[in-house]
Amino acid sequence: MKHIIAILILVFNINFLQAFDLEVDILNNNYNPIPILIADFVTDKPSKDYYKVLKNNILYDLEQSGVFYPRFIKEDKLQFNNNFKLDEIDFSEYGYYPTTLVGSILYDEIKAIYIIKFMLIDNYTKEIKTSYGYDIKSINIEEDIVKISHDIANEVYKSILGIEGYFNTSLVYVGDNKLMLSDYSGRNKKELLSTQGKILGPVFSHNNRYVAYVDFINGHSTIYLYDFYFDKKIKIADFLGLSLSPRFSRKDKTLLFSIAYDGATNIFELNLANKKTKKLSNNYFINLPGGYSYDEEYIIFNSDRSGTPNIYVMTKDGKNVKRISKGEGSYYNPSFAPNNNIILFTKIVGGQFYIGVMTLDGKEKIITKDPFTESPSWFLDGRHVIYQYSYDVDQKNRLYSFYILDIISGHKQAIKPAINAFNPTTSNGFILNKKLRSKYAINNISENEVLQ
Amino acid sequence: MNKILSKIALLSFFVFLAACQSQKSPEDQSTENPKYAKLENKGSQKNQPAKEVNFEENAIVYFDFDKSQLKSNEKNKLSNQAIWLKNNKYKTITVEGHTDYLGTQEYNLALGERRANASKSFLVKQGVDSKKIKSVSFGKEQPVNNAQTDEARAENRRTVTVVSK
Repeated sequence: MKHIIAILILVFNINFLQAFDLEVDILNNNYNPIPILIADFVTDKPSKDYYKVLKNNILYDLEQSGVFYPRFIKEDKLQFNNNFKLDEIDFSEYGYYPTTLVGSILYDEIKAIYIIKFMLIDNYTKEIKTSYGYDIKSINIEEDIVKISHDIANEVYKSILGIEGYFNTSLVYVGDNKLMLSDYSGRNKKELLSTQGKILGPVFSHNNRYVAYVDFINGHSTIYLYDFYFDKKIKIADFLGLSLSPRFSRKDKTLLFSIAYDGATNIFELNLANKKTKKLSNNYFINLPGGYSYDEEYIIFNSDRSGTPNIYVMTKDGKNVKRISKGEGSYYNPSFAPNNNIILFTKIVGGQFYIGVMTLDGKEKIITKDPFTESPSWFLDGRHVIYQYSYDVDQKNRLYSFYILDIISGHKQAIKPAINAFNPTTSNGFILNKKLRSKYAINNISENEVLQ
Repeated sequence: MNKILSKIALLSFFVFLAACQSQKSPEDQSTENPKYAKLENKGSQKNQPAKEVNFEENAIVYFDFDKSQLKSNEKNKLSNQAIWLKNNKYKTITVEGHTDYLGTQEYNLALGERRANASKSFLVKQGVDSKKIKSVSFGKEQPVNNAQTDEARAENRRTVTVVSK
């Protein structure tokens, strides 16, 4: 009976996700976070402090996502050591938990490395859903431990939900007027650059190598690329008027942007290889690009051609323009989800800010209402979004920070990476994490080999 | 009698003109605030007393929410700016476009650009040389009133004409 109830809970959640792909059916108040057991890892004296960091990060990631309901458990039977006998464990003793994470972090004195291993177990079939090993030799051990903890949480997320997790996503944002890099939760901050002017609207390229941003100074704006590989900036668009809203194509071959000049703001496409530009809109209205669709066939954009700002789509050649938004108020900042055609947007009605999602036929749902919400950005799972909001510090002053929102459960996570933080943009995962994965990958390991 | 009065008026006008020509840029005299100069309109018709134009009072033009169309009372301010500019041929100006806080940074920069361009176009239609006018947008980045009230927002939806030094 216990098994049947647990399976029903799991099936309900999976069905929910599938439904979300097909229609905007989100923020269901009946969403139940997925229970997961996190067993105490096996550790030793040199690894003890690092384990605390690892454990806390994994629990933080899973719980704060709003997707999981993790329960930490200390139990001899679940210790991932030579005595670990998967076949002999009756997981139903611990309640209705479909999966259990077990692992170890140990110091190898001979090789002078820390070895981390984990395994995610299906409690009913006793199958190993996923597993990996890592070794750490670097001098930045704690930094690597944090990355590995995000990677483990990510593997759990992907294994259970079937979609890429976002815990190893990097965040770029404008913090105290500097271009900043951090992990998804605002930790491990690093300054990328600062300018004499104001930095606006950074966006990641899909290969994670570049961030495009606008440098606005003395009434003029220029678009630059920051190159992570060479740690330098490259001027990419500098025209008469204001260059605004850069958006990479999904394959990073082209960059959409707008030029505001002589009273009109039109959309252009810049070929990043030959630097040629193509004008995609040609009128006297305000037209700002939101980005390409998942298949690169459509471009979504913001325009006030109807008299108020609304959301439109056009084919990638700039033709077949169609208005999408139909509701009351002004719409801004549209963007397609990374894995489907759900549209994220900002909306203002009667001075109140909203963030919502919309299908291509204009059916919309408001997902949050916070003061001065702006700059919503998808995480790569297409389920979580990050956005900017403000809060009062006293009667005269406001500060700006971020929320991460699970658009299915409605769970919000506050992120405060700087005193004033604006314009968050998310990467396509943090690919450097893969380098930490070691030859100790344990996908096919038998129970007796786990610590060899 | 009338002929005598006319001659006196004409003589006064020529004496006045001569005084003006002896200075490189007469408007500098009355520039207490270099950004918003208080200046004197000399009048365009003979025998007409000079009309004083307070440039500062006419420098800010207000707009409706999300609009860049000029309202009739705001056009009067721009007309006064045009009169001043035609009488101060050595001066150049910058028209700054601003918005309230509603809307995104990018949209408001574009809207500010359009407002600045609307004010600039009106001045050009009034006969001001377009080469003397630079237009820029600051979007919602430089509010004059940070309050979250309708009145404060209305104060921020503006173009500001700034006299270059």
